[in-house]
Amino acid sequence: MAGRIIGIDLGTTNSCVAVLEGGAPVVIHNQEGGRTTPSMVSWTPAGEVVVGSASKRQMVTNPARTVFGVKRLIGRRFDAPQATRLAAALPYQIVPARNGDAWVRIGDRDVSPQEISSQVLRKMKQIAEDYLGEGVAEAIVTVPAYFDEVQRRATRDAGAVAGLEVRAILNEPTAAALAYGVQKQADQKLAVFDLGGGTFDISILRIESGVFEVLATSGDTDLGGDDFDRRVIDRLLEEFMEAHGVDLRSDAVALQRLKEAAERAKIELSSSMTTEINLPFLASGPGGPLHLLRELGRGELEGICVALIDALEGPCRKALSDSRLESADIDQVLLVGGMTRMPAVAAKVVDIFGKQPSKGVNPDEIVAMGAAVQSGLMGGELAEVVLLDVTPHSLGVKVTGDRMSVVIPANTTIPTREQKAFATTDDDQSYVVIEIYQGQSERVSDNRFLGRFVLGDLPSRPAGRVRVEVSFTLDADGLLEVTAKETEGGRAASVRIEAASGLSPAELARLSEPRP
Amino acid sequence: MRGHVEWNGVGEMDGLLAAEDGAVRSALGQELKRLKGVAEPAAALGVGADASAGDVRARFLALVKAYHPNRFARRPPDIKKLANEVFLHLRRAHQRMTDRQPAQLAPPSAPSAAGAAAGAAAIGTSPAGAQAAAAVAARASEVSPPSQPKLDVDAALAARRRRVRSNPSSPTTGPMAGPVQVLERVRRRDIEHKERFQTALADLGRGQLESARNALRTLAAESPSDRRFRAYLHYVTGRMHEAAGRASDALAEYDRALSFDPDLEPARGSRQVLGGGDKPDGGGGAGRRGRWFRK
Repeated sequence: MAGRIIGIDLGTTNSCVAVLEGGAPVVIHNQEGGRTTPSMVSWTPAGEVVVGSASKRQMVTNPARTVFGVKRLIGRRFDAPQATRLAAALPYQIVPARNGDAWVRIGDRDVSPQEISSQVLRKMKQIAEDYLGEGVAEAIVTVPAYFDEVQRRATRDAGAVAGLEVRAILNEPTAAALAYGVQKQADQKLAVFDLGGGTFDISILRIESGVFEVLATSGDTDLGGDDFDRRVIDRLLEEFMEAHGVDLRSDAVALQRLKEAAERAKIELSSSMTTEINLPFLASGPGGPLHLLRELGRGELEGICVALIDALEGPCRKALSDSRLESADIDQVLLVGGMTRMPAVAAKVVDIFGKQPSKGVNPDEIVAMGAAVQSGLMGGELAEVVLLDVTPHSLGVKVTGDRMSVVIPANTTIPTREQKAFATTDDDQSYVVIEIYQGQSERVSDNRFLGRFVLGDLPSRPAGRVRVEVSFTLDADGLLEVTAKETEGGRAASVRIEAASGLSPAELARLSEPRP
Repeated sequence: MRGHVEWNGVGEMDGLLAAEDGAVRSALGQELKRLKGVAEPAAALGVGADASAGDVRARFLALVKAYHPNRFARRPPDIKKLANEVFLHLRRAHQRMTDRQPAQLAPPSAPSAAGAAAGAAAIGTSPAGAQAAAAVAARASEVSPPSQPKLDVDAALAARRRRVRSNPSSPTTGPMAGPVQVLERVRRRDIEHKERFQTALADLGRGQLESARNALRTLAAESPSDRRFRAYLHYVTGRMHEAAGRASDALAEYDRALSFDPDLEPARGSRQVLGGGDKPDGGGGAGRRGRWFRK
């Protein structure tokens, strides 16, 4: 068969790549010797693209042309509340693209999040190629379990732009469970608590005779380490304003330095009780240069972030109840993502699940290792293991009154096929428009629009007398096919929903061409 | 790779992981054909009809390992699609063997009263017709609150019956079924139906009409010949109409209930309360009433 499939954890803050060697996942070091690579991309004034550690190093001097955390923008509309909130806090500029998506303005050019992510993926591909000594054309890329179809599609496209055929989009907590479970090989019920740089996922799995079955998944795609940093930055900004009367919010360089300092302080406070934030010459006031020097204690950090920590509980309770389990039924809790190193977060996990989380798992690497394991399931190296995942959001059809009629409920095991019958609302209605949405809200306009199609030539009947049976087939890749059939005359129409990622085929082709 | 793959030969499917596309295609095609030909979920999974829950689960997990579409992720699209279809059949068979929850067996056309409303209220129409549709919807909601829609029991039942017929749980099919097993299965199904019927009656007693109706609808669809289920189904539907203030709809449902079971005292009583009088051909008398109350 073809070459190797690599596993890539495309993180908000850091990315990691792993391959399967002799049936075991191996994390690959980058050129700087790091096992993870910052998910950062910069454009130098000369127009050169710099990715990873090099980008991070020059971020302070080149803040407006350095992009981090683009995973929080991918597949998002510019006017979505999450994007608006992000835009206010970022040193780089977010702009609306022609299609309404959130893009990033670099100098005089607007760049899609897909293209920025593709730079990171290209880097990870190159790291793997250097290690393997051969070309790599296929990858499994992980995403937060709570990503919707549009965000998944956009991630897939980023892979295509990077010259990778994405064989599967794998959920991050599921990947972690795979990597963990393949080592342990014991039947058990597992909770995976994944708090990364930008997203929070909780998944409950049952492992039985090598079958990994996701029972339920929940989370928040807008809660992660970045938010903890931002709370700290906001506190520092307020204090600086009070002390010196200078607002640093419009100062991109100062913001970038604050961001770096806040992140470092947060990380240090995971192992020590106090740390120092020291930013000399942060700004200049009427009386000369202004400095920021302050001590931060672990207790104070926890106080600043208490609302964020409390917000972790709801999704955990929901996942437990969706999987019809009590916390006492869970045999093991896995911590994934750098944020779980924060003692207050780990304490919250103990509080929710009533047991100590599993040690001996590297929260930064296990997701990429799981993606490598999944490549073994596809290539046949790991015949004794298989994964049954679920769809994280409900899929349904728009009905009158701005309501969503759910066809496939959230947490349904995929692949799946579900049917539902609908009726016309008008006398002699000649066609129906089937609009497909994804999301949890009963109000369909709050959910994500995926696609639409028309079933025409309906027989002339009074309102409600024509019945249309709508069938949703969701395959193992998460691709959705919708068929509508009028039951009396048997007229049918179907559509394969490829959630538009915002890039047209032409744009994709242009981006995929190798650069000079 | 052999040319022929036994339908219950999970072990032989292991060889498929390394086999040529052509062999994989034909093996999956044969399995799909076999699955389409068997009606009994037990036969589809390749277990005895009386297999224990543990045996069914173990067998299902083994089949999942052999046929999950992820196994064929690097194959051509048509093979992935075949594997997908095989998996969907296996999963449905497994669900049918394990699912004892009536709510999940409810017909898709009306999983709940609200669902029926959504169904009937329905999918957007032509831009020109949109206003008219909105008007219709508005009228409908004037007549009936959204949670108490026009209930189209018969259409739902018919749909359910069609499904049951095309996927019969008839005890005479399936290679695993011997005469003794058939009798045993019929007996077990009756016991199970009785239990579910009792649950539905309990719901009715507590005023949980919605859940009672869902359970009864499933029962009626699974045993179309049991007039008691249908009688109760129409009675409960009538109660829902009555609760929503649609007296004439309610009366019609009570009459339908009595046509299936003239002895259904609650329907007769409700009918009288609504002023429908005694049914001329009812044949319900004090004796029958007494029998109901003695129960």
